This record gives sequence, structure tokens and C-alpha cells, in this order.
Amino acid sequence: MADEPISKLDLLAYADGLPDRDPRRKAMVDKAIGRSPELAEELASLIAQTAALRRAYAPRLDDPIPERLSAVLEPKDARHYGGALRAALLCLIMLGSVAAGWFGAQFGSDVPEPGAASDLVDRAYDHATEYPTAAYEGGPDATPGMTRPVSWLANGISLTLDPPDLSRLGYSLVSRKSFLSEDGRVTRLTYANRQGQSFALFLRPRWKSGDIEVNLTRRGDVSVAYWLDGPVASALASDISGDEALSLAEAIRQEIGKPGSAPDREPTPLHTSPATLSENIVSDTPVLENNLQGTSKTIQ
Amino acid sequence: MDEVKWLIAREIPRLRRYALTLERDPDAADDLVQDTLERAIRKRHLWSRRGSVRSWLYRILYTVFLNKRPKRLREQGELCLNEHLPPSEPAQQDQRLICSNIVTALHQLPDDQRAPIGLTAVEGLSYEEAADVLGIPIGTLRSRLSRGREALRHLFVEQQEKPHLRRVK
Repeated sequence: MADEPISKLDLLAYADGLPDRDPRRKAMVDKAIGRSPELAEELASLIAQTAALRRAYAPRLDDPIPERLSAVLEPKDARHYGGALRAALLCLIMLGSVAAGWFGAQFGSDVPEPGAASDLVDRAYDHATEYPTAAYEGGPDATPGMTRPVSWLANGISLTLDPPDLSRLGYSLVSRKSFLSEDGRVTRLTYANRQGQSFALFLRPRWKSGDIEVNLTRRGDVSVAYWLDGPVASALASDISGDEALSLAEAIRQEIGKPGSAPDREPTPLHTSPATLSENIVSDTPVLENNLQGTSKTIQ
Repeated sequence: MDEVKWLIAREIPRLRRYALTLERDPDAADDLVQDTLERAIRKRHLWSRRGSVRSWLYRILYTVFLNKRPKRLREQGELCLNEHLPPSEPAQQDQRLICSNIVTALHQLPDDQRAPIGLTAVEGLSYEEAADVLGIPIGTLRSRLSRGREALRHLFVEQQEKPHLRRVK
């Protein structure tokens, strides 16, 4: 079959990195620019143009956000009273927990963890018990591509997060997996430092209002920090000290609230049926499953 | 903060960046973002909760930009865009020189070419996503992109050859 002619739009799409989704067309462009120095020169010029545009506008992302823009989302009055409201809410939660504990004791049942984080707290605790820090002895050994954004499509809403960058705290991402649970898809990110300490971070989308500040619960030697913020429920588990777990949790909470570096692509919907729920392990995308396998072997 | 506000809040830096490709003056760009946020908060119950909140916000921002255009054009009258640029300064280094040129060149393009270039080349949207944000067929988007990028290529080269370059904040 004869090659289709290469148009300016093909070159433009190539310069913008778009033909990665169409390997056949990309191969044709590669072939054409290999044959034609003029096309190659035109492509190089377009690539330089795209790079110059991105470089010119990149600093805007790091500019401090003006007060007048933040105030649109959270009016000053609300922020002023926010602390008091949060404190009152926490008191209510604590009172609720005491009441629940009393009822639990009366009826012999376990007291649930607060809010929608309970499943994550259980999962995080189980993981930390099964894989103590010794499992990561030897330090970080991240697989390329592991820092790609985590994408969910839940209730028709797409959400993309970059895995938190904790390099300033000495931690690197060493493993990632996705699971299906009864409450939706959970992503587990495991971090380790050079001293052999590690923790697992569990993230799950949620579409309910009501935040919970970072809380810490201890079960034996395991510390589990959990919090609910916007559309994400998070839990961190490790056998590191409670103080360190809390400090890591606060750092992660701030990182998650930042905008992602990658375009907010539409992730592929995850088709679930009752039979595939519970402990089935799935990757974020089929292509990435291969990347995960190599890493998971060293851990599980 | 409720979940929709949380989602909107983390998009503010990107909205500010895209607004700056539409409005060269940083304060005018932030006015655009402020209007966008106010409108998004007011209308958030109308969000279909389908797809990406980022695309929805870009769409609002572009609509706000279009709505402000007649007023902006009235204010500018027949003046050349160049007359609104900040005072020219000699470029400090090569990197700055290239950035200044490309921004200057981009703002000499008509709005309907600059808007798709900002979404695709700067914001990294696919052509389908950009067409959806701008509310135009993908063929129209491709055509505007093609013409805009070609014009930019000429302007970019021409600007580099000029002895006195303008600095862009």
C-alpha cells in the first residue's frame, strides 16, 4: 500500500506530541521526514516553537495565586470562621466517636473509623502488617513511568492527580497498584527512603462533601494517618513513628491539592461487575500493567 | 471546601496560564480568571459532572473572554496591539529573548488563532478536547491551528531578527 502524503497538520500534531496515540501515522511521518530534509526542517521549527511557547508560559504556574482569586472560592468571612467551624465539627466527631464506642461496647461490635475513610484505614493497616519496612530494604528502586498521573473516572467525573513528590522529605515512589473494592477503585502508592523506611499511601475518589483533617490511629506497631479532602479519601500506613506519619500526611495532603502537571485526560471507564469486585488487582491502564509487574515482584 | 470547589481551586494556576495566552496584560488575565471562577461557582449546579472539570473551566473562560471582546476592542480602538506592549528593554540573555519573541509573536495573531494554540501547544489538550472547549468542529480547529502556527513561525523568525526586543513579564 502506498504511503499517504504527509500534511502540515501531521507535522504540527507530531510537534505537539499527539501522534503517540496513532503509531501507524507516527511511523509514516518518521519515514517522510527521514526522506525529506525540508520536512525535517519544518518539523524542527514547529517543535522549537512549541517548546518556546511552553517555556515562556511555564513560570505562570508557580506564581502565587492572588487573594482576589482565592476569595472567590472561599470568601473571607467563611475563612475567618472556618477554623472555629472545623473545631466544632471535630468536637462533634469526637463526641460521636465516644457515643459510637459506647454503643459498640454495649453491643459488642467494632467502632467504625470516621466517615468514608474506614475501608482505607483497614486496608492500609492490613498492608502495613503484611509488608513491614524490612520488605523495602535496599532503598528506592523506582520503575520508569511510575510517576505518571493517577486517573480515576468515578460517577462520570474524571480526576487526575500526580503522585505526590516527596523527594524533599527523602522518600521516592517505589511501587503503585490499583485495586477494586466495594467502594470503588483504590490506588496504592508505596514510598521508601534510603534508610529503608517505607509507607503505603491509599487514595480513593469520593464524591461527598465534608472534609476530615489528618487523624492518626495506632494499631499495635502500625500508625495509620487518614484524612478526607475534597474528592479524595486518603490513608497512610507504616510502622514509622506516629509523629512522622502525621508530618508525612500533612505534606502529602498539600501536594495532592496542587494542580497536576499532566493534561487532565479522560481515563478509560472502568467496567465493574459484582464478580470483579473485592480484591481484584487492576492497573491504571492495560499498557501500564507490564510496568507494574516488575515492581510488584520485589514487594509481594 | 466542597468537592467541586476543591476541583476548581486546583485548576487556578492553569486557568491563569491560559488566560495569559488570551490577554497579554497579567492583570487583565487575572480579571478573566476571576470572572471565570465567579461564574463557575455560581453555575456549578449546572455542571453535568461528566468528564474533566478542567475542560469545563476552560470553556467558561473562553466564553467570558469572547463576551469581553467587544468592550476590549472598543477600548483599543484602531490601535495596533504593539502599542499596548510594555516598554521595550534589551534582552538579558538568549532564553529570555526567545520567550519574549514568542509571546510577542503570539499576541499579534487574531483571537481565533491564538485561542487554539494556547489550548494545544501551551495547555497540552488534544485537538478533540480543544475543539470541544472552543465549541467548533475539529476541522475548523485544525484549519485555525495550521494558519496560526504558520503565521507564528514567520512572526517568530522576524522578531528574532529585530535589534530591539520587547520584554514580557
